[in-house]
Amino acid sequence: MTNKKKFLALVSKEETNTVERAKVRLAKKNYSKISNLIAFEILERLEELNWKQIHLAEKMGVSPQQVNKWVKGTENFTLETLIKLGNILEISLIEIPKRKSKFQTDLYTLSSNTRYEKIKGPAIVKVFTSIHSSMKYENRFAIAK
Amino acid sequence: MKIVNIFAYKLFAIHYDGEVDNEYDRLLDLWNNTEYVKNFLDKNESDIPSDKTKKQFVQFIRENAIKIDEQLIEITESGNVSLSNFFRPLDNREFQFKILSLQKGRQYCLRLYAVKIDEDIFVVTGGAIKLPLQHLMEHREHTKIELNKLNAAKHYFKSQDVFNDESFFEFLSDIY
Repeated sequence: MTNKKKFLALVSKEETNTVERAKVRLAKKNYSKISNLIAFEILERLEELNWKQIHLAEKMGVSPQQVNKWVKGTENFTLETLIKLGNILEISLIEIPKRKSKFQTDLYTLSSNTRYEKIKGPAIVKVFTSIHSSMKYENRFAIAK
Repeated sequence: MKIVNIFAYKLFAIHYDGEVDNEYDRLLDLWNNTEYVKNFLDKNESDIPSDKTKKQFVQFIRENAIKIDEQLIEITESGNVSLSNFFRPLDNREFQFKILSLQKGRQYCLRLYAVKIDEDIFVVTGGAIKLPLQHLMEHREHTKIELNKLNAAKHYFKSQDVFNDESFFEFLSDIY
């Protein structure tokens, strides 16, 4: 009998669902990475506050099993849960990055009545001439320096 | 103790008595559990380099666990890639063919330990988180246990005559 056959004779007939379990984990991988970090923040905060998970469960009005699921870091949290958790733990669990608008401008005043605006995004420099303080017109013929 | 097929009759795992799952499922569940990982890092903080944080390792371990699942599914489903691309001899100095070689599958700080049965057949005996400042398996209790599990599995296969002299010569005639 070959080495392989001898080995296979030792293998249990029992079926496993390892492949399915791996595929389920992979299907959740994008939010699981974020859920992992949220769980870490919750655990760190519970330590700082010297709270047990059951304490948090009471304050959140959920079962201790639910809190235990959260700290495993595989939960697909709702915004409602995250906001409530953040309020109770007094930490921010959601942050929306501030970003400048594509058309937000940096102003460079070049003379008393002409200013050059560097438009972020497309590499264009437009020249505006101010007529008075509240009005400005694009001067298409001016050359930006 | 049972040996179960986990991926395409190429990768097997030991299911130890008293455990709910086989070693692969058990470890992947642990490595995907933030609470477990954080507790492990709290206990082994001295093995984290000073320029890294616990939070970074919580992130690395989750990402590494995902990569292990991805690689093993790819290897076992594609048919073009061998498991030998994932597993390497435990002893870095091992270059020659060795009977029931002890192997490790490595993904940054995660390790899957296995016994190599044949060219593309491996049995997972366990695994561990091995942080960067830990060097040898003998240096920490949790990896010492894994080393013992590897050796115990190897002795079991030998005792079951999985690899005797006869099969060794069969193996040699297969490859030459």
